[in-house]
Amino acid sequence: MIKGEGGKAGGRLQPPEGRLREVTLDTAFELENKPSEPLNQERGLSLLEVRELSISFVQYSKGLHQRTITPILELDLAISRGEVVAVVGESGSGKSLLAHAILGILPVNARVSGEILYEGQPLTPERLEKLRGLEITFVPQSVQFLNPLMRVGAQVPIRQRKEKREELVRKAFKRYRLPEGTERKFPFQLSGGMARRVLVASATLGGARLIVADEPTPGMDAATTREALWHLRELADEGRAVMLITHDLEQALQFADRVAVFYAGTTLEEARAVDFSGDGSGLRHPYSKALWGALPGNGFRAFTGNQPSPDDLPEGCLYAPRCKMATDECYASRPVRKYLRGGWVRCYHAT
Amino acid sequence: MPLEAREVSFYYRRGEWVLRRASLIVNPGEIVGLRGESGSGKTTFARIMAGYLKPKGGVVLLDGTPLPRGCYNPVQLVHQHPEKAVNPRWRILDILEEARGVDSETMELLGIDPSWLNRWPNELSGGELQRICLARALRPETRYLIADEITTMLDAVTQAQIWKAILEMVWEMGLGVLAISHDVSLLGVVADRVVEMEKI
Repeated sequence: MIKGEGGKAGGRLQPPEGRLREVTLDTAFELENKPSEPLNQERGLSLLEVRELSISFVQYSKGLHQRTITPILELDLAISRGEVVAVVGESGSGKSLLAHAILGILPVNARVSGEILYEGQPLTPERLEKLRGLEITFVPQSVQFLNPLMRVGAQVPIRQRKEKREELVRKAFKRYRLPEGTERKFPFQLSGGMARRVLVASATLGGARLIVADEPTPGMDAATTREALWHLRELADEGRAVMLITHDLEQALQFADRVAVFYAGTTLEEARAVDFSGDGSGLRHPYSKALWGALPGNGFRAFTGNQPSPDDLPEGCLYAPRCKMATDECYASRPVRKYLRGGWVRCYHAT
Repeated sequence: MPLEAREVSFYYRRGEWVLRRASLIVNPGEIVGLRGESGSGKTTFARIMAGYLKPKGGVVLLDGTPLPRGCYNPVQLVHQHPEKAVNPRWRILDILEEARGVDSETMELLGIDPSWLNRWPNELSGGELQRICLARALRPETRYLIADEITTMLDAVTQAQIWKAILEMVWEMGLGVLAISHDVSLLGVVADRVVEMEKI
């Protein structure tokens, strides 16, 4: 639905003056790249909206030779209250870097364009300072994000009185099967799997409204993995928004409502989790279909080629060099987002 | 000419057995899947099979004799995290050069782009780097590959690409593979037979 075109009366779109244009559902859904429009027009403004985000770095390779690398290019993502959005893609597709951008922890030499909106307002450094750790929490991919000189219990970001705080921390750690007394230990005294559980427990025990989890489960055993992902699902059902970054599509599908498919730093498609089923014909982008068909249970189909390097991105669609459907149009310019069957896609040939 | 673990036992701390009398045979041209949960001793077993760890009891035999020492090891191990298996201060070219270079056929098979050779490890993605690690391990002298969760951290497309390349080497050169993974469905499609870690 286009904003303001709600009721039946006067609901017809007027063609621009002097140019008659047939209005179909698809043209009406075409996004005009207006920042004021919510990313997902069906659901309205999401809690978190990342719009046309690009991040690049200038590197000095040899002496004064410069080169620019662009690990994130025109990336979009929307996460609403009450849902788990899985972000899947190859390593190097910009998943972790996006998380760092949301949390405002990019390296200082990063050049950023585009918007990150939280509750409809830009996430400025000042706002982040207040929200980070309390309203917006982060499960980092590396356990090295723990402060090595602080006991892990003291690193849990909640604002409570001492006794209440200790009780909450103990309860959260117990839920993640951490042995009693873990809160008094230093990070070096924990195994990799335990440290990871500490990170997940810390990010989920407070009143966070947006939880950004970057590969939270590797290194955990099967039971703890399920428990951790179920917990994220429960938190979403309570009305929080969860971003689950993972390379494991199959696992993500069990817990997520929607899936954003990343490739070479952009979002190729945002699909409903249920679209990943059967022969994958519910999916919109050829890469999403390839990802689905490459799973061992779905044919294990391999196809050649590699993700383009961030210092040598193609002019047109980032997936075109590997795409069987690519035409001249695909090599010439990058497709804009197109709404299709309750999701959206960046592809000229999506059906 | 099989690779055989015969009643191999191992502990890191006395009294805490990680492996007890584990036996397994891998034949040339065969892919044996080894499945187990994390902490069940899969990686320890992999390191023993490749000769990195000496078992506290039992032996590992190649063609009926202990693994050769002081020369190229025909049993090569590839790890789960490629970024931890390469020197971050070497270019890809030097990393491959340490294994006496890699021929263009292997590079093509694994889908390695020649432009990667001048890059540093942190400029490649995990899937790209894992292919470099495989190219380094799969020299013509290599007869057995111990693949320890080599595609666990990779996306499905890259996983399928890498395993298709390994399957080709198994069929063409009679490479024997021990595929270690927790992923039943992956082992179901790549392995000739699957063994449970608890039962070896």
